[in-house]
Amino acid sequence: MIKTETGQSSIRIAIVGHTNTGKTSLIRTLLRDENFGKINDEAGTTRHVEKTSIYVREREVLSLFDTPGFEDSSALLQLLDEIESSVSTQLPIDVLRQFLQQSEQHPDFIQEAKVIRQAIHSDVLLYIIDVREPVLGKYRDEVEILSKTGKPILPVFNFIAGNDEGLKRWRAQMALFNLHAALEFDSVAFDFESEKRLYQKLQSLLESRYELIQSLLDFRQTVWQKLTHAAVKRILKMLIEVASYRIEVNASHGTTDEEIAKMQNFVRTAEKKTLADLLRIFAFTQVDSDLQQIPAKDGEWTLDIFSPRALKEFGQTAGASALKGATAGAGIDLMVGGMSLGAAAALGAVLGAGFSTIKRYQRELKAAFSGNKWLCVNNETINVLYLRQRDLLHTLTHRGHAAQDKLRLGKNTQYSLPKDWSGFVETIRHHPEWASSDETDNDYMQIQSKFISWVLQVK
Amino acid sequence: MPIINFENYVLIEQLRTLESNAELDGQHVEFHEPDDALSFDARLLRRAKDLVERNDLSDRLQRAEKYTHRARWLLYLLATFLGALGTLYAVTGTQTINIYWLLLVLLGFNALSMLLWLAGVSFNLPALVSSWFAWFPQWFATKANREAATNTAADRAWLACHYGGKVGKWQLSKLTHEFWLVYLIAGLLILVIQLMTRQYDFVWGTTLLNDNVFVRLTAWMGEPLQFIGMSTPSAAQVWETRIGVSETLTAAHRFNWAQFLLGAIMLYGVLPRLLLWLGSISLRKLARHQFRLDYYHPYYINLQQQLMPMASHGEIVDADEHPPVTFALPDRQPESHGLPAGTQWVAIEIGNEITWPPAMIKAADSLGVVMDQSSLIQVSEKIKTSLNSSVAIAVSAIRIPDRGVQRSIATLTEGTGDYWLVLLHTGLSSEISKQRLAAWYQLAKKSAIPADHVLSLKVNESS
Repeated sequence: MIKTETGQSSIRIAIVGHTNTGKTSLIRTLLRDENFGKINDEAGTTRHVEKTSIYVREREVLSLFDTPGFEDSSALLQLLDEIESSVSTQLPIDVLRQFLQQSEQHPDFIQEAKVIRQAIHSDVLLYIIDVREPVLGKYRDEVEILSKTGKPILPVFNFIAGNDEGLKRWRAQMALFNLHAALEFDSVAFDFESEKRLYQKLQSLLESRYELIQSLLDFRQTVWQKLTHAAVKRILKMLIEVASYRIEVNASHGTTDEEIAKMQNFVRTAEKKTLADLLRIFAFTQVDSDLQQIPAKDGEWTLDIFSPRALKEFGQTAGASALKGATAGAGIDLMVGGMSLGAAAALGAVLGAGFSTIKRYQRELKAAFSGNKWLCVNNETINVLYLRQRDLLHTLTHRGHAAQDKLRLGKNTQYSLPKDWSGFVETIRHHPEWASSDETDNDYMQIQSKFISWVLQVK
Repeated sequence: MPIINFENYVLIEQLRTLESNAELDGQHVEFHEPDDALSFDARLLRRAKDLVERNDLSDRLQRAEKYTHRARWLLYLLATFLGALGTLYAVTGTQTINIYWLLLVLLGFNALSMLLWLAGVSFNLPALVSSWFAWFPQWFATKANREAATNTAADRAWLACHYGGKVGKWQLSKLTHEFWLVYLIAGLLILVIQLMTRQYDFVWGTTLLNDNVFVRLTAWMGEPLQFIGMSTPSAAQVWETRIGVSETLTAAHRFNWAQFLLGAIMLYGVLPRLLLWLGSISLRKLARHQFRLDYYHPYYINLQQQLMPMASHGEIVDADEHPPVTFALPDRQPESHGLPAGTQWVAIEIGNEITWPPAMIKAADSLGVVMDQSSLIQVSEKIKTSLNSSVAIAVSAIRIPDRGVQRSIATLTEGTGDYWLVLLHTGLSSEISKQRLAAWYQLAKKSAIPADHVLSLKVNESS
């Protein structure tokens, strides 16, 4: 028995089902761990029973047991029937115990024996179903065998994205076994709401552990929300860095290719760093390494931000000037800049210190006196950066850690720029210091909460 | 209750900036975590201390504090100098002290700075002052030590923690009040020494203001002083002190003015500053107590995943002692046809994507579909009673050949007939993965179906 620090044992959950239905995938997604277990498109990939735990801070709340898949339940059921008829038993679970005692005599069912042994020692069974599969007799036999353990069974419908018909068929089938409380949880096309529902279903199945599961649910929800906010803040930081970036150029020469390239590289690097941070926030370490090479790879996401396709993809004009990603002189208006520093700093300036303002605009002032101009990142590039990051965020928050496919973006181009976007860009252009996320600055905090509400569509 | 304090948080944050600026590689250092239940705070601190020790970072991490400490002493020296200078300027070289000028030098500037401080605190002006204060120690550090000009990430983090946010607000307030306390005390001490060792007459005068203003001001300022038992000049004595009214003052008159002057500096200068200083210390203590790092910064999220993941890594509790037999990938693709005429067909667990029988197979040639144990028995019986010995067992190529399928095929091929395994697919046969093909060939082998009897057949997808 696994005891938590409060003395209450953790909840033991056996993940069971037919081979290759996504049992290990489900655990990967729940753990946010791409490295748990082994996933392969063949029968019998998981051969051990493997335990992992989910914590609320230092406290172990769930113990998940990944089990090998059933492969020949029909034959096993026949064997169990034979055992039942040969031995006088009181309860169905005794038949299973009898089978386990003599399991060495049935080498064909070594994997099934492991599943049954673990199921008997668990509090609840998650029966994973690949809804793309036809409803076969062997699946019905699996449920019948599992029901002999006397443990609550929660059918979990996996791979449901785009498989409505299969889901309907399986729901009807499970209802025949009186398993009406079932869960839709796609381990690849992840949705945090499904995870919440999993815990809620467990609460209804394990009434005595309600509070413990509630603590887990609350914790996971808080963490998820904070991670999402952390990701949005990181995107905002990148946009501020890019929007407020400028290169001083000699007005008499005009802009050189070298200067344009320098600015473009700055944008690419900023985007790459953000991508790496976002992947880290959501614990996608494997795709992280795959994507480190952007923009040199194929696929939508790897599209260079300054390519005409990237601009068009996100509904931006792909004119020659837009493609360079640069715009000359963002019109650093000291008056506007000073005001946008906020009333406090403006007052500071009035009081005679003015240090912040002078320090902040010293380069601009110097350039103004020497007759030079500024090269800034243009609005089109900032727009595409924003849309791409929204797209990335959507993809990462809906990607299970069991997903094996390459991270591909550019499919969620339904996003559009928020209403007050141009005003927002103008404001952040004047505040490079906000890139360090100073949460004591009221103006920054206002911009941040506005941005979070845009991205997460929170009212 | 957190078990680590503000200084610990600063240390952790300093390491974060060092690692973020590639001045330190802590990501690849392995830490052995004990089994005891430690909070993330505690784990972070242990990691930080370990990194400091391993990389001998103590001096580097304490540099900002050391230079800031020096800068503070310079500031106190400056305050002492200015306070003393102001007083000396008001009293030296003459036998008279201009009362209101001296009060203006000591209390007036003090009051003005207090107003500025109040505006700063009320309007949250960290940018106004913190930029000065945060910049100065850093500048000092770089000037004092050329080497220090590089690798300043840890210094910046130290300064950001101590001089930024709420902690910075009260730290700067404390510094401001310290500066003016030193200024006032220096001025006061010089004044006391001067008054003890020399005899001064007190005067005042004005060109623009009405004389009554000073009479009323003295009475108003004197009231609290009288309350605490100090002597203050009467209205008549104030009038007498006006420049040009009286040539010399009596000793009692001088004593009253001296007490008024010292009392006013104490009560209106030193005491408020002292209270504000104490208040700032308390609020700084509170702010430091409430100080937390943003553990949802990508750096800390990453560390959390390493040091205190929300889930444990897997642990095998029931190991498999019979590893599966691996088999070689097939070097051949299944043929697309070649069945003898009159072959009878059986399908096993075909998916929903295929309609059985497909168009190219006559319904009369189909013995049925195996979907469960009873259909397996039925179909098996049909095979046994069939006159034709050639039986094609159709399976969906994309489905996984598990032991159940294998047993079904074994049951169907118990007889002495000629058996074929036909892999049905709706796309191109080349789209069937090598692993899947290998699994089917392996199954065929176990079922005594020769490899050249494994065929592929393209069928239409069911609508």
